[in-house]
Amino acid sequence: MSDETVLPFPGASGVPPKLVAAVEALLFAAGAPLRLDALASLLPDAHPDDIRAALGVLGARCGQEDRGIVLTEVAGGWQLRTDARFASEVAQLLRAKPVKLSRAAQEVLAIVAYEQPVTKQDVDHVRGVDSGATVKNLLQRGLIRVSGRREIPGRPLEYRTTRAFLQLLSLSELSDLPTLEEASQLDE
Amino acid sequence: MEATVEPAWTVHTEVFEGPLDLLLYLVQRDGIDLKRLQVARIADAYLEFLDHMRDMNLSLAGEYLVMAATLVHLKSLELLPRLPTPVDEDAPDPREEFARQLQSYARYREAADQLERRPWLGRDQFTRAEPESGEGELDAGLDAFGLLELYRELLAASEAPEPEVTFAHEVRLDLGTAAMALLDSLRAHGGHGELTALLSSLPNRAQRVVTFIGVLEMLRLGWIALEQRFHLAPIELSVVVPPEVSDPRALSGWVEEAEAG
Repeated sequence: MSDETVLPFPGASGVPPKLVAAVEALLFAAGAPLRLDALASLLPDAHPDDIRAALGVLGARCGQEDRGIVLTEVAGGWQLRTDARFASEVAQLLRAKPVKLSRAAQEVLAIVAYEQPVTKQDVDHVRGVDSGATVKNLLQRGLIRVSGRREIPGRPLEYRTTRAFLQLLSLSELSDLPTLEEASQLDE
Repeated sequence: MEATVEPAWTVHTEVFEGPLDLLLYLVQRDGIDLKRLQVARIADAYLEFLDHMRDMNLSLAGEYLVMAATLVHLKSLELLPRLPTPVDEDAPDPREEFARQLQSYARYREAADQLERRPWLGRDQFTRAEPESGEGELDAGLDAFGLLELYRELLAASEAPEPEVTFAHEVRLDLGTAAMALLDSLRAHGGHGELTALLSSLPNRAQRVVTFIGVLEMLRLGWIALEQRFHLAPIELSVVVPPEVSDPRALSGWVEEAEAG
């Protein structure tokens, strides 16, 4: 009852500490994002609302200045990640080359993300250049996938973004994308 | 950057992702208002830029020239008096179309910039496990080296002294027989089995070795499939060939060749 009054969830102070700890343990072990229903099935004694509240407590606690782990809501689940403040140190530790996308790849990805499903012709039209190689590259990296064919002459392939895309960009779902109107700059 | 010294001619075409990108750069540099459809200004700036590129003997991709032609056409519409043609009544102003395309591209580019500023997994943030690749459903860790490792483990496991067996007559182990025996045993178990379990159930080292090679051979022929659902998971074997197609001669012939050579 001391400093727990500022927690973002109304019932947060009522969350059993052991449940918060259990959620933390599961998220740590999982590595990949865990969905609420996965957590609920692993913690059958806890009410989903309490699990949600426990996530809130954990998230607030991880968000503290002196913590190096953040709780991120991503791809429909929750994931423990290292704080972006220590990106270079962690990358050095993991000997990982930071993920990079060319500007062309970022443009194509943005077009697919906002307009999906799109065909390569749609992308080419927006960008005014052939995007075939970039589309192929994004497919290989698993950031977009073939979702079907458009029922027009030639039946061109249609593309959508993947779960890996949500994970890469730390998005919980596609509706978390900033709206295009917000994004526009030249209109003002 | 260097571009601040002299006009922007130090910028090369490789910097641009295409003619639209170059146009946006010019629009921003010259403060052109797209809403006011200042196509003539845009066209002039663009053509001037292309001239500079040509002076510097830089080759231009075809798209840049197509865009130049489009712009000249649009500019001509602006300069020539309008003819009252009945066809044009419903058709949208091509200059508006052009401005819309440019604005639409600008919007996606800004969106791409916004995505770039988000915390990226594998660049800004990291997870305890390795970042998932693709859809993450079937992240198989099985490759030739994985199999080789398994083979070595198998041989090491069979280092334990084997019972002394004296054969009444010489037993000839051949790949065809071993492979067919494995296929039969798999089929008897619904066409599936676990590789390590199958191999370690064999009585001696020689049979394991021959059967393992048989597995590789059948894999090569596409008779069986190996699957590992996740890293360090058991390797599962499944028969994919119908009985009438799995002719042992395809295997034993290979053995004869190997023995002859």
